Amino acid sequence: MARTPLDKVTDHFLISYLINDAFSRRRLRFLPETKLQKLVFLSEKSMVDERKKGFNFYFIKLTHGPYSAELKSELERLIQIGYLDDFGLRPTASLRLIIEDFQNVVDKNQTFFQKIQRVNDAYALMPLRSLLKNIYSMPWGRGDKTIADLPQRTPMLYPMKPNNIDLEFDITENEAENLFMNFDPEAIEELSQATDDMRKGRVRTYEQVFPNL
Amino acid sequence: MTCGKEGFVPMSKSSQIYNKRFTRTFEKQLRKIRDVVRVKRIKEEVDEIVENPYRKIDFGAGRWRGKRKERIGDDRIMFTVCEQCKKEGHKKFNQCLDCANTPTNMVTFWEVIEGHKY
Repeated sequence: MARTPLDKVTDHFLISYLINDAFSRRRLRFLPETKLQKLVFLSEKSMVDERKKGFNFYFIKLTHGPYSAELKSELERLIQIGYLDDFGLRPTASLRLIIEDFQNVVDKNQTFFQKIQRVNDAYALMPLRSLLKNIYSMPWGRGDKTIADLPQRTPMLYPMKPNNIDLEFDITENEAENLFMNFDPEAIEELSQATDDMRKGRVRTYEQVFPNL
Repeated sequence: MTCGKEGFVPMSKSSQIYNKRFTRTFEKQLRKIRDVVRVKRIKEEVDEIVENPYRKIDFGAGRWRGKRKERIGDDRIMFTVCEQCKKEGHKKFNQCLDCANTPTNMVTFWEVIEGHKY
């Protein structure tokens, strides 16, 4: 199943929350990308295990365990739009503002955010080597196989099919639209230009904006 | 603060007359819309907002904190009402150059956002 635009915006918000929670509540000082990949994997797995559709990333098994190329590209987007520091993936004030403004979305989806918190509680401060060891030894599939036993590039997680879902992320159309805007580099750039116009007094009249109408 | 409606209820404004102004970005975005019908609908919505800016209140969130949002089909326009901005303490988000000298009855239209992208 391909990720829908709504899946993507939900993913953006959940990653943002996960990173902010790891830094603010767990007092993390630096988040390597490999560790983030594993924290998102564990969170998504805990949701999928209970048929809860929160994260929607594809994960495959690679040399260092579960990996999502889409997550990597979403991270680049978050850095590009200024929500994460390039070094250490530390959340910026803009990202914290979003978490704050969408607190109602967090409140009504507690079951998803609690799972993220539990993963952060257990693994965010764990040294990367121990975290990888933990993940490699996790059982996977039927039988007594572990993640370490899986062949390279084995698909591990993917967006849930509609008939497998017991609980979906609860978000209204208006909330989703506000989130889309906040994670769209083009919309953010245009907002920045409009703000710059007002800072510099570059204003237009009604007649200039709507000529011949 | 959460996205959505906020608590500011203006005094009776039925007799208040509002002025309007637009950012250069708003003008540029509007020019990109080739569909005359869409532009006309945006113009009509602008007129209605200026006529009565408080008929429905829907605030943006995150980076759009402090700005109001109005839907016109698939498009959205973002605007502020000076008296509301000052009263709600949104000046730090909107950062207009001439805030102190701008009359409170000014409605500023910031952006047109093409909703169909979302």
